[in-house]
This record gives sequence, structure tokens and C-alpha cells, in this order.
Amino acid sequence: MNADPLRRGCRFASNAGLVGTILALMLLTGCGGDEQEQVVLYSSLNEPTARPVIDRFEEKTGIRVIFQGDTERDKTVGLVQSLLEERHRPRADVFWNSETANTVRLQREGVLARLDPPPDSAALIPDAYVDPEGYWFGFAARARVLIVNTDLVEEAEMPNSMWDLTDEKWRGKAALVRPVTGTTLTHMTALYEIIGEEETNRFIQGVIDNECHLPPGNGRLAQLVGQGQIHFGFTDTSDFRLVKNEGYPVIAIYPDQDSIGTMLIPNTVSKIRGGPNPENARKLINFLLSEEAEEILAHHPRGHIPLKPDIDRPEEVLVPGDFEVMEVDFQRVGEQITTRLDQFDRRFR
Amino acid sequence: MNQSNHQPKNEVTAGRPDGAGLNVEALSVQYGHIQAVREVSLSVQPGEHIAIIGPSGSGKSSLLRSVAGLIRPAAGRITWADETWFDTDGTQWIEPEHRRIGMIAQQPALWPHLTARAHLMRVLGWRGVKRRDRAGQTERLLELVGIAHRATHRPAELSGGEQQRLALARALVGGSRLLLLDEPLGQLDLVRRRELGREMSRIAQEMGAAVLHVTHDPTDAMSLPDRIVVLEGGRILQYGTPDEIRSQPAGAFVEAVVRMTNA
Amino acid sequence: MLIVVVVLLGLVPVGMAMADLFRRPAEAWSALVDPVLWPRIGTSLLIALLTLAFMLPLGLMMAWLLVRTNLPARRLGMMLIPFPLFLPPLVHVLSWFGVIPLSGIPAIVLVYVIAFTPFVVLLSARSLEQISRAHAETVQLMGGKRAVLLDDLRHALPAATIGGVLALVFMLGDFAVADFLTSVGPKVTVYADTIYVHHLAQRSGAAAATAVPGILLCLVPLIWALRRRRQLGATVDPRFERAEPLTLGGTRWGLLLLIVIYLLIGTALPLISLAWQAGSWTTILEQARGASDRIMFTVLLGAAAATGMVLLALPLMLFAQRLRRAWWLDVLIFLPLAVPPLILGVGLIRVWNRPLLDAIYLGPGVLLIALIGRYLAFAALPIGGSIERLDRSMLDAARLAGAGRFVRTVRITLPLIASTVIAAWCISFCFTLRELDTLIMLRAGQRTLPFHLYSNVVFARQEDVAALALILAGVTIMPLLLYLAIARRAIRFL
Repeated sequence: MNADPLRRGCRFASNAGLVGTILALMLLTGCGGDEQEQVVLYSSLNEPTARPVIDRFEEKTGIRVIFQGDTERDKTVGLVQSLLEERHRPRADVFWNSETANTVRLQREGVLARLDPPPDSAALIPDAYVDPEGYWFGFAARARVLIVNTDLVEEAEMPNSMWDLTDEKWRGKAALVRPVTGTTLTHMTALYEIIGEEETNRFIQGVIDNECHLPPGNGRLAQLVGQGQIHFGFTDTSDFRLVKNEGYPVIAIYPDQDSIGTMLIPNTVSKIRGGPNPENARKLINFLLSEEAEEILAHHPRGHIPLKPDIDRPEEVLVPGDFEVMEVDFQRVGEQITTRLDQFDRRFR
Repeated sequence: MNQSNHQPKNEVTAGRPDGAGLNVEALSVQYGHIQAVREVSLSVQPGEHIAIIGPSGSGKSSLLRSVAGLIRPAAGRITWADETWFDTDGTQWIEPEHRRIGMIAQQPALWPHLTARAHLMRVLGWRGVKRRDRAGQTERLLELVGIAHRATHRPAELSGGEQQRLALARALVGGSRLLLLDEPLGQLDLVRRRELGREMSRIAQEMGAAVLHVTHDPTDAMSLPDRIVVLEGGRILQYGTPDEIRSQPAGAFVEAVVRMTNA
Repeated sequence: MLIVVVVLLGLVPVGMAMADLFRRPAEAWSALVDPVLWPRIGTSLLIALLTLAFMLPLGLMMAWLLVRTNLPARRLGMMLIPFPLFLPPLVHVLSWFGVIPLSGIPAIVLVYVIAFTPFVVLLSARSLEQISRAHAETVQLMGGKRAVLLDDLRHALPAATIGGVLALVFMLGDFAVADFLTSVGPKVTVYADTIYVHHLAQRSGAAAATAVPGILLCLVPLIWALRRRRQLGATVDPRFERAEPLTLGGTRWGLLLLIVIYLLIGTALPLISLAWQAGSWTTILEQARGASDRIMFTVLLGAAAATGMVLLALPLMLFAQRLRRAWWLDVLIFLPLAVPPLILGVGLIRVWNRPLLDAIYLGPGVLLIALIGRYLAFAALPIGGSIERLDRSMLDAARLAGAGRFVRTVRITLPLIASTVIAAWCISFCFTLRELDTLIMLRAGQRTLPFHLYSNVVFARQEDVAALALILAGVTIMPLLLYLAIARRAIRFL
């Protein structure tokens, strides 16, 4: 046998090329279509969170769910872009969004279809979390809470209001996600509706002046508070729960109980206009809005807050009534969000 | 017939264009604005060895490369017997790979990934020699050029002389009709150069190939060939046997060459 | 024909997406004159220039030491030097800065320097290998060792610049590193953030317009450097003998230490830190088992894409050689790489979401197309470089010996550039495995390992994420290790 590396290189290359080509063919032919009943779900949730609910739906109905999810790194922008670009030839049936703003935006762009009549399971959802025109329905919410590191903050000093972020006492110690994405963007936009233009601007200026940290996401913020790099900050209950479960010394405080209340942001589900499987889309939406789905999501480690009454849930999952909820018109907030996004993008350099 | 007299204009036709071997008629080669070869005509018969000498930049290599087909001439006509390789109207062009010629340049340009034997076997394959005949021809030629004992070695393992011998074998294998030598021995020491030069000449003659040999070495030029072509400024300055050149050198360059070989 | 394929893969999607520039001209114009944009480009450029200011000297020096001196174990060093490149910057961030808290622009620059310096080393090393003995000796006779060093650097600078520009492409397109590293402390908002905000606000015209300065910033120096390097490349002596390595005195052990430290920081520590965070073999095995389908899918996809890239780059570069490597071909090949991934994704949807094309659009086909279109440059660059450097006389000899174009290519060119082709395959494979942002917009992209990893970052247990990152790093580096084991020599880039 010849031991020349060049020669061996050639042989290796041709073999590798051959194997590669065969593999590519296998890969391409491996995706033949089957005729099973299916429904295509686009979701801004990551798959591990959505999976238990989807599994249950598949089990009950025999309809296969094709799941297209998102990652926190991409901040939902990829998925929404896909939906917009596919508008003329939709490939999705259902959009399950972890918040409301992008849903309202997609509705305004004509991507969503109206569900008329609304699904049966939507009956018990409080009106505030349902689009009156029937384009979207809320379920399984998250609350916007202050996550506090109990090693760093004394019992007596615990913050209990969003205004604590602007308190001189916490200069350089508090955090807010840079509000150009996700629930923080919705939250800050809602403030304009609730406390007015002037007060909100004052709050935002306060956050900037008080040298608040601006992590890229709520999960990262919660982690940083858990690790003790930041004393406290606004995050979602779902992200708080994950950090808490990891054993970090943190508690969640539901802020502004005596004034505007704590913001609650629901997951939303909507039907895509012109999607390939309209019948199954309706079935999936109906299931996502059911008591069963809310129960599964409440028992998930992220602990989603059920919006319907009397859903079985772990003790730590507080529901409206256990705390004061901010009254938000999600439709109006959604309509303003692009304008506010640009403002925030300029304010938070 | 043999115009050995000194003629400054380009009316010299080297050789007798009788159709048996290579005929070059009024060949011109141009690179942009530079005219490297100007209306050169020459003929080489099978078995004949012609040397081309001339100062640097006289167009020797350009002439050789255009005969090989590696560059496309601007005008003229190149034929081998009744085959037209190139004609000035541009309609006639035969690719170098179909001309059945061999060429050796100063660098042997061997293929680093092939053994000596594989070099020849491969060329025989390309030249359409039947599979069963290839091994025999290869061994014979390796024997002829004297590197049969190095048949399984790659170029990197061969000495400079051996590399040139392999290049010679590769140039001649598979029935090359014409051998183009572009200063092939420049890299070797004096002793080996003389020896190998004579051998190349002998082997080529044995195989019946015509040889067109560009050289810088005055001794080579005066001892090896049947005839000498002197190029200067892209034109043929003089043509004749070594003896004729020696007795009637045309121009300063040839005079210097002759002086050096007489010294 | 071939050009058509390239155009279809890379340029049609880019064109379809960038068309919004003209469809919404007012929006595009106002994005360009937006006072927010230019300071952010400034910030990104500052980061990039600071990175280059460290990366170029460091990379050049390491390349010089590894190629032109008698540094101990330099062959091994050259083999190991590409590794940090194949760990995505975010893996460097996650692994390193999970251990040591660092933040702000210095941290961003540090991560980029660690992650991208191999670009400079690999490319300049290749240039330095081309310095001939005669040339080096002449320089040394006339000016001593100092002159040799200066002349070597001058020789390697264009190649180093190409390396720098490749790094620039990745730096300008990235906001994740800056985001992550300024979670605490003053926020650094970069150029890529602006493009992202335009996408978020559904201003596709503005997003396309905002991308233009970045594309130009990448392409212009790249084209310059490629041309410049080619001019130098043309001076390579055909009777080439490599220059003798210079002898370093006692300092060589100190200098070796520098390279060892770099390799430790860039490769060993991230891997060890990930392994440490993962905790135990069982975690890694568990994650590997859980993600085995995705690992398989990703490896197959990467292998198929790399094969496609090489198969496409080979004839393309042979053709380019005949065109004397026209500059527009460089643009053609590099444009899809310089375009922000989201824009490419938008373009891909516009091109492929059509009746009858479902098998491609909904399956892995469109991923292959996306990867080949985007990363073709990584196969084309080394293959093109080695074809350019191939001695013409060897091909002429084959031609006179009766070999036609095809036979010459298969029998002479291919065997001679085989090792570069394999290296190109490895590099292409590694980069396809890092890709996330374009694939995320396509359904089959969900089945890839990077998607799985990033959808678990923040959501899953830290150990699991570390284990997944370790698996991804292992899968990425595998072919390179295989190549090194078989060929026993460093990869050649360009």
C-alpha cells in the first residue's frame, strides 16, 4: 500500500465526496409527504415549553402538530418575519404567541383570520384577554414581577413598586430589559396608556438616570439577579420560576399592588388567514384555550398563570385575585407598539 | 536552398517547406502592443534537429510556444505534413492536445503526485495507446532514457538530471512527432548538461522525431543540431549549418557566440 | 450554467429581499439619514477596529512564528490554530464569562479577538509559505533579520487583511455577543441592533437600506485585499523552494508559550469550562441521546452542504481562473455572506415559497440551498487560491501529452489540490454548523442542533445547555480532527 499523504488525501476526498452526495440524497428523499391529518403551529415559545400541551393534543385527536418555534436569541423576529413573508402563500395554520404585541401587529398586517364564531373553549376567558373582533384569544399568562436577590436585599428594604427602579438608593443595582422586544416592550408601552405620557417618560428617564442595567432578555435578567450580579429587576414570572427552581436565592414581588397593579401578559393564539388546514386549526385553537391546556401549562416548571377560574395549579402559581392586576387594553397597546419601539430604541442607547 | 548569407529583412525561410514535417509560414505573435515574433517562416523535417539561438527577448520561447499551441499567434500558418494546426484566417485551429508533440522546458513540470512509470502510462492512455501495449512501451522508454531503476519514484525523489530524463521520456512517449526543447538543460551542471544534451538528441533521432531546440548554451548550439536558426528582434537573422554559421556569423550576437565556442 | 446556479442560490434571494429598497424608497432613505444609525455604525466600527488592532498583529505574529521560524512544535501549532474559530463566539462567551465576569467593549473585543484571530493566522500563514528561499536570502543579505521580518510582514499583510475582513463580516452581523456582554453595566448598542429593530417594526425597506453600509464596509476592503494578494501571488517563483526558517534564540520558548496560551484560552478552556459546567458524562450522554436525531440531521445537513459547496466551488473557480478572477465574481461569491442573515432568510422565503416547490421549501432542501448560497465563499476562497497557485507548466505538459480540459482537471488539477479541497470541505462544514439566524426562519431549520441549543439557552438547566454546547463543538470539530489524523498536516486556507 502506498503511504503518501497526498495519495491518501485524494482517496479520502473522493470517498468523502461520494458519501456526502449519497447522504444528501438520503436527506432529501427522507422528507416524503405522508397523508396523515396535520396542523402547522408557529410558536414564539421554545419547543420544550410547548411540547407537553402539543403531545396531549396529538394524543387526543390523532392530528399531527408540525411545530415551528423560536429561540430567545432571535427575539421572535424571525418567526414574525416568516409569517409576514408567507402572507401571500401561508404555510402555518395557527400562531401561538407568548405575548400580545406581535399578534396585534400581524392582525393589522392582515395575516390573521377572524374566528367566528369563537371557539367553545374561549367562553370563560375574561374579556380583557380576548380580541372583541375574534382575531386572537389570550390564555396562560405571565405576570411582570420584580425578581429580587434575597442575599443582597434586606427584608425591610424590599422594592415593591416599579418606581423603585428609579430610586437613588438602587443606583446601578436594578435592571430592566432593554424595551425593544418581548414582554418588556409591551409592558412599557402599556404604561403610556395607564399612567400617561408624562409619567411614563419620567419613569423611563429615571431608569436611565439611575443607571439601570439593560440585559437583552428576561431570562438573562433573572439569571443575573440569581447570580447576584444585579440586586433586582423586572422579569416574567415564568423566567423567575426557572431561576428559583435552580436553587438561587430569589423571590418575586408583585409590584404596585396599591396603585396601578401588576401587569399580566397572556399567551395569545390566533388562526392564520388562508392556512392549509383550517379545520384542524380550529381544533388546535379550541384545545389550547381549554381548561386542560391551561392546567398543563400551570404545572409546567415555568408555571403559567391560568386565566380561567378554578384551574388546578401548583400552590406557588398565583392567579388574579391573589394580586391586583393592571387593566390593559391590549389592542390599543398593540397598535402603538411600533411608535414606542422607535422611541425606546432611541432613548436606551 | 540554404540561405546562409546575412539578410537583415525577414525574407529568410529556414528549411525547405516540402510538406513532410513542420512548416511555419510568416508566423507573427503579439502580446498587446509588443510584437514578439515577426513573420517567421521555418521548416523542420522528421529526424532533423534545429537549434534556435538568439539574445534574450528575441522571441525564441514565443515561437516555440505558438508552435505548441500554448499561445495563439496573431498571423501566419502552421502545418505538419498535410495537417493544418493554425491558419491566419483563424478558422483553422488544432488544440495542443491533438498535435502529438512533446515539450520540455527549463523546469521539467513533472506531476508531483505520479511515479515515473505512472507519468508515461498516463500519457499513453491519453494518446490512445491500447492498454496491453502501455506497460511494454513504458518500460522500453524508461530503459532508453536510463531511469528504469527509478520507475516507482515520484519527482520529488529524483535528482535534477533524472527529472529531465523523465521529462524527455514523457515528451517522447506515445509517438510524439515533434520535440520542442526550451532550454531544457539550463538547470544542470556543465558535465551532465553536455552528456544529457547529446543523449536527448540521439534518442529523439532514434524515435524519428523532429527537434526544435531553443538554447542559450553556445556549445550546445554549435555541436548538437543539424541546422541553426538565429533569431533577433522577432525575426530570423540567419539560418544554416553550424559550420556555415561559424564561418560567416551575422551580427554581433552570433559573432560573440562563435567566438565563445572557438575559445 | 454554473454562474446561473450560483446566482440562483445566493443572489436571487438577496436581490428579492433587497428589492424593498426600491419598493419603499422613502422608508429606505429615512433609515439611512436616521441620526441613530451612524453613531451605531461608529460603535460597531470602533469595536471592529479595536479587534483588528489586536487581531492583526497577534495573528501575523503567530503565523510568522509558526511558518518562518524554528519554533518548537510549530507543525502541531499550525494544526491546532484553527480550533478557536470553530467554536461560535457565543460559546466562547457562555463558557468563559460564565466563569469570569467581564463586560463592556473590552470584553466584546476580547471575545472577538479570541474567536476570529485564526482567520488572520491561517490566511497569512499561507502567504508566508509562499516566500521563496532565494527571495528571503536576498533580503537577509541586504538588510539582516530585521529586514526579513519586515519583508515577510509586508508579504503577508494582504492575506491578513482578508482574514480581518472575514472577521469583520461576522462582527458587523452580530449583536448577540454585545448584548450578552453588556447585560450588566453600560449598554452597548451596535449596528446590527438597528437592522433588527427595523425588522421588528416590520420596515423591510429600512432594514435593507440599513444593511447597505455594512455590506459595503465588508466588500470594499475584501475586494481590494483579494486583488492585492493576487498581485503578490503572481510573483511566486515556479521553481519554488521554501525559505529556510529563521533561528530564534532562547526567546523561542517564550514565544511558544504565547501560542500555547492563545490555544489554551481559545480552545482548551472553553471546552473544559463547558465540560465542567455540564458536570458529568451522564449529562452529556443524556443530552446526546435526547438530541441524537438532531445531531444526525445536523451532521448530514452540514456534510451535504459542505459537499455541495465544494462541488460548486471547484468548477466555478476553474472557470474563474479562465476569467482571470474578475472582481465581480468575488462580489458574487461574497455578497450572500455579507448580507445580514435575516434579510437572506426573507429572500429565501420569497424565492422558494411557491407552488410545486414545497418539497424543497418545507424540507431540508431549502436549508441546503441557504447554507451553500451563504457560505460558498468559504469553499471558493481556498479552492480558488490553490488553483491560482498551481503551476501552469504542469497543466501545459499534460495538454501537450494529449489530455483534454476535463482529463487535465481530473487527473492533474484535482489530485494536486486535493488537500486544499478537503480543508475547504472541513471549513465549510464547520461554518454550516454554526449557522442559526437564517435557518431559524425555515421550517426544517428547527431540526438542527444549533436551534436546539439556542432554544434551550436560558430555558433549560445550565448543565444541559453546557452539555449541548459541548456536543455541538465536538460535532463541529470532528471532521477537522479526522483530517488532521489522516493527512497529518495543517489545513490550508486560500
